[in-house]
Amino acid sequence: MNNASTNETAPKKQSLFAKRRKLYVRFAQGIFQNWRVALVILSQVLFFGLPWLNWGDRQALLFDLPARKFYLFGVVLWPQDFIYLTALLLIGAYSLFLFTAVAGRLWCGYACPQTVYTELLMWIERAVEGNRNARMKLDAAPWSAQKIGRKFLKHLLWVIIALWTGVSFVGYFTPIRELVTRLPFGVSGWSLFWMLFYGGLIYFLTGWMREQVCKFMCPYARFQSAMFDRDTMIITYDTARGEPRGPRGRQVDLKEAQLGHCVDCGLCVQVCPTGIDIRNGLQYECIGCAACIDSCEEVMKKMNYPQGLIRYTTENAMTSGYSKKEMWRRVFRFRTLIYSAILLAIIVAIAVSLSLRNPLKVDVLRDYGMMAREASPGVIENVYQVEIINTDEHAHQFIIEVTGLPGIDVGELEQPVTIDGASNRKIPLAARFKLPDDGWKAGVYPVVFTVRAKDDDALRREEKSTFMVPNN
Amino acid sequence: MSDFTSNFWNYYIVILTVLGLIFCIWLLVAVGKREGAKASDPSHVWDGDLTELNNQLPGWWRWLFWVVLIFSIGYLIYYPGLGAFKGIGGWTQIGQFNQEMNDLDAKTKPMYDSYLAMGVADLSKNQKAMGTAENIFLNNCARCHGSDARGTTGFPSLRSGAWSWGGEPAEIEQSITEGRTGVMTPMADAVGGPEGVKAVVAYMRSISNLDHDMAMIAQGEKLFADNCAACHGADGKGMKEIGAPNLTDSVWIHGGTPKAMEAVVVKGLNSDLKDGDFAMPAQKDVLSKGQIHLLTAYVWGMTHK
Amino acid sequence: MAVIWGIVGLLVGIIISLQLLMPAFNFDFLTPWLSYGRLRPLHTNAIIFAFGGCALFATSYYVVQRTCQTRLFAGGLAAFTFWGWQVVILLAALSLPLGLSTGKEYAELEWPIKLLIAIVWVSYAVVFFGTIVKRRTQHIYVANWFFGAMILAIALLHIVNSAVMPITLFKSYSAYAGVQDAMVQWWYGHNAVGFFLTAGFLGMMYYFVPKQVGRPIYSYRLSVVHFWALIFTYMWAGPHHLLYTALPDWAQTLGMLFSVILLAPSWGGMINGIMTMSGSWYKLRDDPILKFLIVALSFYGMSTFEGPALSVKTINALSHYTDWTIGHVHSGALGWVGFITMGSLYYLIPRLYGRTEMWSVKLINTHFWIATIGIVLYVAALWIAGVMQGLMWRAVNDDGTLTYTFIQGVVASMPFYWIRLVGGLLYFIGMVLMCFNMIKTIGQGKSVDVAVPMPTAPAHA
Repeated sequence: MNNASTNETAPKKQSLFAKRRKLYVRFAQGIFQNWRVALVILSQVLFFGLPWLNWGDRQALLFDLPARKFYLFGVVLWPQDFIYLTALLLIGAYSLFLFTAVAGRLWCGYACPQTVYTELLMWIERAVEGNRNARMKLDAAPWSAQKIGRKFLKHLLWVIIALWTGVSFVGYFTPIRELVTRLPFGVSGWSLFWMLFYGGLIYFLTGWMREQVCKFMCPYARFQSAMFDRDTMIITYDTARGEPRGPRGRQVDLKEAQLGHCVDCGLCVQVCPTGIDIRNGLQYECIGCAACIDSCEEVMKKMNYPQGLIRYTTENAMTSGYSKKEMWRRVFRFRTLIYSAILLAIIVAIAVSLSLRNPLKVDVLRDYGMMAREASPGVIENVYQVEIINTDEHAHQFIIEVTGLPGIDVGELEQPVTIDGASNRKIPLAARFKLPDDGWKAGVYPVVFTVRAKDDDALRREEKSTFMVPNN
Repeated sequence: MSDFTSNFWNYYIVILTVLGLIFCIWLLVAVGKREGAKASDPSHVWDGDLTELNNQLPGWWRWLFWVVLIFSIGYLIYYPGLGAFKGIGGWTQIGQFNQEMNDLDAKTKPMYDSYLAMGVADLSKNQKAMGTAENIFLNNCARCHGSDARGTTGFPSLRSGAWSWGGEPAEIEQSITEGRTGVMTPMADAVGGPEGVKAVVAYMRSISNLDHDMAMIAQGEKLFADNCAACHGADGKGMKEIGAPNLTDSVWIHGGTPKAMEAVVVKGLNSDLKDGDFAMPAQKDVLSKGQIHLLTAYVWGMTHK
Repeated sequence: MAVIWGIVGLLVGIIISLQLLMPAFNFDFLTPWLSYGRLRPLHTNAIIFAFGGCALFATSYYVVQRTCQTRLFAGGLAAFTFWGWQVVILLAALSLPLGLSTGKEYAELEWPIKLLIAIVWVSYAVVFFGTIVKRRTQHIYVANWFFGAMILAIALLHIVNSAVMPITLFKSYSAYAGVQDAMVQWWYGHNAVGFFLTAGFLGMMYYFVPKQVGRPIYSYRLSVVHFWALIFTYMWAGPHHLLYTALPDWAQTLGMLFSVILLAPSWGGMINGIMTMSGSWYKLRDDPILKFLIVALSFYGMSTFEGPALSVKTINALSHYTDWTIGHVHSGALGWVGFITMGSLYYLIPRLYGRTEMWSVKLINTHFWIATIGIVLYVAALWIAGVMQGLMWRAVNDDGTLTYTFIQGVVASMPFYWIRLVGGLLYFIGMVLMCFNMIKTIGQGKSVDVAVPMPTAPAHA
């Protein structure tokens, strides 16, 4: 089984030398390209627009790191709510698993920022330098005022976009309306650093590095390929139908000429953002953008050949000649169902937990410097700090009660306690328990602290703690 | 001041580090330049079919390596790293710490300055100030005095109204700033053994209206006058200058049972550190003047509503 | 050319013992009858030295014979290293729960055991380098460089860090004091990761990846550059465990810088592995062993990016002492070390029993899917928990007082720990499947003498 590469589909060329072969990507048009455009526009409208939305008199989306408060429209999350971030991360990971198991590198092809910004910067490149041929000609031409002007304009536009993404990025962490008024020199050191860093990343990774990021650096790209199996829909060239390839007129009889459907126009290679030839089979460079499908479909239409010479299909479907229906049935196999189930479970869990989310958080902290004390003969006190975290944006008055032992109370605490909106306070108190006359066994007893807002029944929380009764 | 016992170690580190960086750069340059067979070299075959290609290093990887190396060199120039060389940026870890502390102090200074200008009585009515004071108290004082400041055995309650060292603002401020250590020598021998101890305790209980053994009071009173009155006063009401507590009230810092009281008489307090130590540590190095002033108001306010 | 029975038996013994040790995974959670403080070192020792160590012994002995095209030098000594190592593991499993510990992380074992380790390890070095010396190939294969570097470095690290003053049979004190002790400890500690868990397993990668994928190594000169750069820079990285401590500023700086530099050589290994596979990418769809190997490399890439990032002072100030570090370690240990080992063993085991495939390839697939789901849960939970803890610990009120007490951070971490438990269990279940698969494979096969291939090139005289 270790016979090296005799019947390999990959090209035997010495690719990937230190000097990178610059790609001149032709623009494809078609249904998948439209999807990508739609996703680029949607994601960028969201990314650039969201920081400008307001909720009441504050920014709707703001992650205030120094204050450790994270504003998400109507809710204010605290570090203790980071479990939602984990859930988000898990959703991200498992959706990646699911989508990849179903249809390959969908994420890479349509949604990854690397793809999105590369696409965006390529649009600019095309607008400034012209289409593929024009760009190749321009690069080959000697340096002239016109060439310098075009290159300068391109990079200028790139830098502007990159910097603006940097500003928007920082705008999620510091109020953006105030931030832009301080641009460019009034911005604090770290904000400036992150602006330049994030903007620089966008500029270099998607303007210069482009496909090299996907080919060499990105570990997720490798990870996703490991998520493929025989029932994963992958962009595939139908070798049986396409070969033997070759140029021909539109009227040529294929049988006579002994030709397959591939006219060998090379468009699929020209549109590929990573510069591969999909006809060589599945390759690690393929980011699943489907530009080759779009370009090939157009050619097929012109030639009056059936669609789908290059298409999304599974290995099983190719080798066993399944119908579309059969293939889809197998795509929804046990593994994808499991992923879907996990995803669904997490999403439901988040939804339920968010809808039941109590803007009141309470921590009961026993004093550990002392176990218990006898305040007066027969009266045992345990001391606690009850931290009330009011994540609601309005102030409330709270009542603290304790239950669990007969007649136990919170002693001389002055109630109610006022906590401002989106703030927290530790309330020190002594829970007081008068031993009954017939005695009481020493030990550790469970007690429950209840904190409730006077003006809002929904703001109520119970926290367990313990109460110690010492030996005499 | 130097971290090095001799200059030799300083140069040792410098040379090693510089050589190390040069080594990395040399690796990068030399191996990258060397012309090698581009395809697999048939003379290198292991285990039947293992071969090696000799592709050139990916260009961007070479750049990455350069970037981290240049970053490191720049960093070494700016920050301390090359042996005893302190770096042109003058950064030190303690300097960063002090800087951060100073920044915080600068941020809170106006607030504390305004509090320092206020009297304790006014301050204790200022809700915002008392909120801050409570935070400071819970962070620094609650571990011994309890979160609710009512203390526990050995650690006095600050709400009882009984002040061994005095309860005026200036006295409280002094207690916090410099700490307090009341010393009582073991008295068992002086009062004549276990019987004497019992008698003294009986007398003390009598003057603070606790149940006691009537038969021993007379002996106890005499022993008290001879041995205890010097500090606790003839009337037992204490002496705040040396922190001798009032023995006639109902407040017993180290426990109000006859057993606990006898233990104190026998062992004394803070006279033998092996047996435990009830000193209040000075806070002047931990807390700022403003913070101590706030705490004073907070503590004073507990008994002055 | 014949291969001795004894060597096969040795390999099998190692692998079986390795499987027996698998339950060490995550049991530090579930054992209320033994305290965490004692089981935690047992957990780390079991994973690093029992699981990782046995895998390294087995694969390096196999690889060095295959690629030097000769039999082991001193087979009897090799058998001794096997038994000796098993005794070490056994003693560790006994002594650590008994509370006999030096308190040095990853080097908790008391001095008599350390002595035994040193003896076993030197024997290992003799066998390994002896075999290399009598090789019948002209060049030393790249995997053997890494194994060799690992053996030498670990010997050095172990002996220096284990310098102790024995007091009784069960107790000793470190020869170093204070911050020097800490420095030596983390010089050792990080290089246990660097050489044992990285260099050694890169050696595995360099043999099993090209073998399984059937392609030549991508670039010889890349392997040269990244090998020398890696082993050189790793030696310096230890102090990044001691940022913002009593360690002198210059040592902290050097530790951080060389950790940052380490990014490049580490990624060199990842590139070489991935590019080796690049020509046969389509095989990934069908071959679960390749899936293990490629995911291992992905995790290697992620962890070696995360590591330098975490060693930067500013980030370290937030991440240090939090569960982020634990998440980082496990993305490395479960993702890289675990997966590369599983992939390698899935290749190795059937070949030792005269087969070309495991009993059930489908089960390998299942193992893979379960393990990946588990890792994601584990790592995602701890990363975020770490960030949360870092944020909570450093939260300061407007007046300069701390916002949270430590216990509040612990309470807030509990849900994350549950997620991590589920993730760990899934990973463990995958391991059980592997063990079952292996037993079935062995049951069906017959232990064979694996032929060492004849040299195809003129032998080096």
